[in-house]
Order: sequence, then structure tokens, then C-alpha cells
Amino acid sequence: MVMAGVLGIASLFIVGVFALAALVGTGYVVDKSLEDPDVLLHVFVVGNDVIVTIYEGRRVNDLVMLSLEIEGVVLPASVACIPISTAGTGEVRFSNACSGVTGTRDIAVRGVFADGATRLLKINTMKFT
Amino acid sequence: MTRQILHILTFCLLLAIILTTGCIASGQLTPVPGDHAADMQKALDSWIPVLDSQITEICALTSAAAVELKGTENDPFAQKQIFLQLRRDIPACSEICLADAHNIVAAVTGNPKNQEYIGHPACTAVTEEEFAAAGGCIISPPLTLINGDLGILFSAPVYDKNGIYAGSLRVFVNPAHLFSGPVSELKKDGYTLWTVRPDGVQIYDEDLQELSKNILTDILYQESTVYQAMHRVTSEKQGAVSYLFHNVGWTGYGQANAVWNTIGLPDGTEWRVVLSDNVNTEKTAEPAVSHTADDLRTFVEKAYRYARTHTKEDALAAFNDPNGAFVDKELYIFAYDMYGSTLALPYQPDMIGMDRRSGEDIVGVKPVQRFIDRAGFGGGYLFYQYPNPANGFASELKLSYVMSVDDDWLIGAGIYPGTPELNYSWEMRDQLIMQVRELHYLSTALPREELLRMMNDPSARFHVEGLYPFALDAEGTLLSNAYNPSRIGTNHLGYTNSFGMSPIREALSLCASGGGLMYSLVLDPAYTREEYILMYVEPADDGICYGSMMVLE
Repeated sequence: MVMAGVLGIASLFIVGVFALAALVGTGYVVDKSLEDPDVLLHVFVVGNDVIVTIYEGRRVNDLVMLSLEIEGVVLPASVACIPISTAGTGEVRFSNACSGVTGTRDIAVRGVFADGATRLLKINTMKFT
Repeated sequence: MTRQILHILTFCLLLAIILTTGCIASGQLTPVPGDHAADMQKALDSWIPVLDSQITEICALTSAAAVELKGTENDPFAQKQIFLQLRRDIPACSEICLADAHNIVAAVTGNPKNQEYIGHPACTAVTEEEFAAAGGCIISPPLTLINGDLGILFSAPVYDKNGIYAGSLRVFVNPAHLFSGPVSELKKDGYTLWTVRPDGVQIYDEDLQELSKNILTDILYQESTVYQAMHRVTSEKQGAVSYLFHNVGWTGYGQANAVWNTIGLPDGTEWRVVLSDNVNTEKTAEPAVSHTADDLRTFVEKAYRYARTHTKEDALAAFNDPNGAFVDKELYIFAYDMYGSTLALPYQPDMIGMDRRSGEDIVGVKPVQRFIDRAGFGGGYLFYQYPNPANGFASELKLSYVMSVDDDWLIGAGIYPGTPELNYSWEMRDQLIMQVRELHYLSTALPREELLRMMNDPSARFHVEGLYPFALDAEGTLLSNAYNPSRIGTNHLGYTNSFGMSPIREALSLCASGGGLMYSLVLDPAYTREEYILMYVEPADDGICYGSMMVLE
């Protein structure tokens, strides 16, 4: 009975989300998660490094880690995840993250916050060569 | 009633006298000292034979290649080799196209995207009868090419193995490149050069936006002294005239003096080549504020934060406000979309909406294309030459910092960092292009290993003193490098200079977009200091990016 109740509430939530997406366009859900000015940053390819510059944002001080994904590249955790020791703005350098990477690829930056939440902060199509 | 009419008539008469007097006062021209006019004529006349022989040679080379194409209609490899040799021999040539007898594109060189135009109508139609009337080679006014660039079209008839008209060989010549020799030299003496056909169509002007406009009908040339001068230039083969016009840089308005002469083209038409002295040589009263590269980056980052936290419309309005927070005298934010259309340029609002992708600096580097390319990497610093208002609008190396705001547009700003005077000549620039195009041609004629061996052999025939050819594979490994042979076989994707530029990644990116010229800063072979260089690259069919560079200091 309890299980059925939980499933019912979950179903209602999912239906609600889809109804909202249908109402305002599916792009809304995706855009909202990316465009929120929680953390304003920019991504650069410099030599074999990917540099993420964090400028400002409501949740900049809660940011504890950045992780990087490059389309078609398997990055070791030691390269892909960088703890942010001093929370706030500044440059985070993913050294050798694009060593040997060429062409044009999608690149994604996720942030891990002090409350444990992980959010996609930026997704871009970048040139490597 | 009659009295009232008389008053009105008197008032109108007075107004007319005042206005007319004003016009006459502003339209007064002073006589040009004889020695100044003679100096101008001498300076122009020294370049007429040079331009004449350049044009005649391009026509001759185009016609000869068209003859070579006879009977190659089923041999695309032979056609390609003929195209590559022709591009090598005409450094001002941007692309080559072969159109069939119905003016449909049958073959084209350059960027792989150009291949999409095969089977489509060519940008202009020519007939066998027109070739016969012209005596072979036809030279068009500037046309918009299939890739969006402006070019003068040199075309010659092609016949099949049975001698039947099969179409036309079309060589697109970049007018800025064609006139770059006299323009760069005459500028040193304070002159500017422009060229026009007798029907008024502009063939060349330093302001590339003016190309293909008609000086007899365009609204810009309707002021009475200009109107009369333009009619004299187009109708007389040679002469001298004065008129009132804007100076180069459009910072002032005053008397311009011009002399002109005529080049008779091989197709029977004529070009009037005009030398004028309306170059702005005044230096700005205030000394330039010396901003550093760090200041520049901070300024652009401030604009980036603004752009990302406001709507695009609000951000562009702020960037275009000459009194706003994003204009600090010579430091200002510009914005372009990723197709080269101008979105923000606070000091030149008339340029908003203009496509500046094809604009070139004095050497042939395309700044807006470089901005777009650099923004693809997220952004960063880059060099190009631009007229410096603080130095009489002389071209100087400018350092810009750009950032992509999103996938659709970019912002940037620039400073004149006061780099050492660049040491280059237009002849050397042409040699640089010809050398790389020779390598491109040889890549189709020789096995790769043999060509690389020749590139590493200083005695090979294509080596030129002061030029350093290189070859890169798609992964960024140097296969050949005359500048520093010790680096051959090593991967240099990770190489960055002191401005955080990635010369190898940028060269490969330029190759991927069809090739071209770019500046950079690289370590000398002894690894002691960085040197400013000019680089030209082209992609070859074998996946190799061939290039060469010259040191500019």
C-alpha cells in the first residue's frame, strides 16, 4: 500500500515534469539547468590543457570540485576531476586533458557542490585543432 | 499681400545666398603645388608597368592552363595538378574553378566545402562568343565568389580533345593581394591607391567594402567636386584632379588630390589606377594609453560577464554605446557573429550588420576569420595588423583578446602593444605562399616520404632563404621542420607561447578551414627568445598540413 503510494506520487511528479516540458518546450528543462547563474564560467583550450575560468555566481563559494568530460575521450579521474581547495573565482587547469585530442568535440564541465549536488555547469562545442 | 510675397521672396533669396555662400566656402579647392602633383605622378607611374605585367602574366598563365586542360575532361587527377600549378604561380589567386559550356561548376579547388558547389551554376556566365570578342582571357569586375569572398575573375576558354568549346577556366584573384605591392610601398609616402573601370565600377579600394560599387552613381560620391572628379577620372585616360572627400580613417574631411593613369587589359578593357593623397597622417593629440595584455584580457572578461548576465540585445546596446562602460578611448569591445557579421563596433556604427569575414590586413591575414577561429578554442590572444590612429593610421601589429559568448557570437578588444617594427616585404610574402603551394602540388606528384626528405634537405630547389617550410600530420606531429629540424617526429599540440597561443593547434585549424595566413610568436631554434612570425598553411589531399613561415623581426 505504502509502495503503491510512493509509486503514485513518483508517477504524478514525472507526469508533471513532462506536462511542464510540453507546455514551455523541452528546451526549458535543459536550458534552465545550464543557464542558471549559479556559477558563471568559461572554457578555453590552451596547448594540451583545458582551462576553466570561474568568474562569479550565487553558488561559487559552495563549489568543491569540477569535473571535465570531452566527447570521445576517456580521461583518468586524476585528470578529469579537480578539487577546488579555495572556493571562489579563478582558474582551474585540467593539465594534459586534451593531449592528443584533435578536431571539434563537445566538452562538458560539471560542478560538485558542498551539499553533494552535482550540476552540469557548461556544455560547449570546442575546437581542438 | 504683394508686400508679404515680397518679404517672403526676399527672405528666400537671403537664405539661398547664405546657403550658397556656405557651400562655396566649404567647396573651395586650393591649387596643388606643381612639385607635389609631379611627385604623385612619378610615384604612380613607377607602379603602372608592374601592375600591367602582373595582370598580363595572370592572363597568360590562365590561358596556358586552359590549353593544358584540353582533353582532360575525364581525368580529374590531371585537372587537379594543372589547378595546383596555376595556384602556385599566381599567389594572388584564391581559388580556381572549371565550369562547363553551360556555366555549371565542374571542378573547384580549395576548402573541401567548395566541392559542394560542383553541379551548381557558376557565379557568372560567359560564352564562347565573349571569349572570341575578348581575344582569349576575360577579366571581370569584383564578384562575390561561391565561398562569399570578393574576387576578380580571370577566365579563359577550354576546349575538348575535338576542339569543341567545353567551358571556361576561372581564376579568382584577390584584389587586395593583387594591389598589395604598390599599396604597401606607396603608403610609406603618404599615398593611397584605388582602381576603377571607365564605367565607374571600383576594382580596388583599401576599404574592401567599396569594391564593386560604382563611383559614378553611388551616393557617397555625389558632392559636386567629387562628382566632377569621378567623371573626369573615368572618362580621361590620364590626369590630375582635386576634390573634397573624407581622409582614410574617416576622421576628417578636406581636399584630396589625385593623379591617375590607365592600364590597357589583355581583353581590351581598361582600368584607371588612381593615386590620392587623402591619407590621414595626423597623430592623435593625446598619447595612447598604454594598456597591457593583462588589462586587455580583464577588459574583455568584464564584457563577457556582462554579456552572460544580460540579454544579447542589452549587451550589444552597451557595447555599441561610445560613452558606455565598454569604451575606454582606444580600448573598446567589438562583437561579431560566428559568420563574420558585425554586431558591435562603437566607433563605426555604420559597419553594424556588415559581413567583415573577408576583410584583410595589409599582409593578407583575415582578422575576423582569425577571431572566429580563436573563439572556437574558447578564446585567447591573437595578432593582426590594423591602422593605428595614434600613429597616423599606419598599419601596426595589434594584439586582440577574444572570447566566445556562446556558439553564436564572440566579443573582443585590442591594443597596440608596441611590438618591434616588422621586417617583411610583399615579395617575400608572395614567395611564402608560392613555396607552400609548390609543396601542395608536389604532394600530388611525389611519394610523401620523398617530399618530406626534400623538405628536410636545404639544397632542394623549393627552399628560399628566410623561409622555413614544415609539414604537420593531423595529430600535430612535425613531419618536417626547416626552422628547427631537431623537432621532427615530435608532437607539438601542447606547445604554447607566452601569450597562451597554441600555434600548432591554430595552424591545423587554419588548414582545416582551407588554409591561409596567420601571425604568431614562436621560440627561436636556440630556445632563447620568442620571435614574431608570419605563417602560411594549406591542407593537402594526403591529410598533411603543409606550411612555411618567415621571421618578421
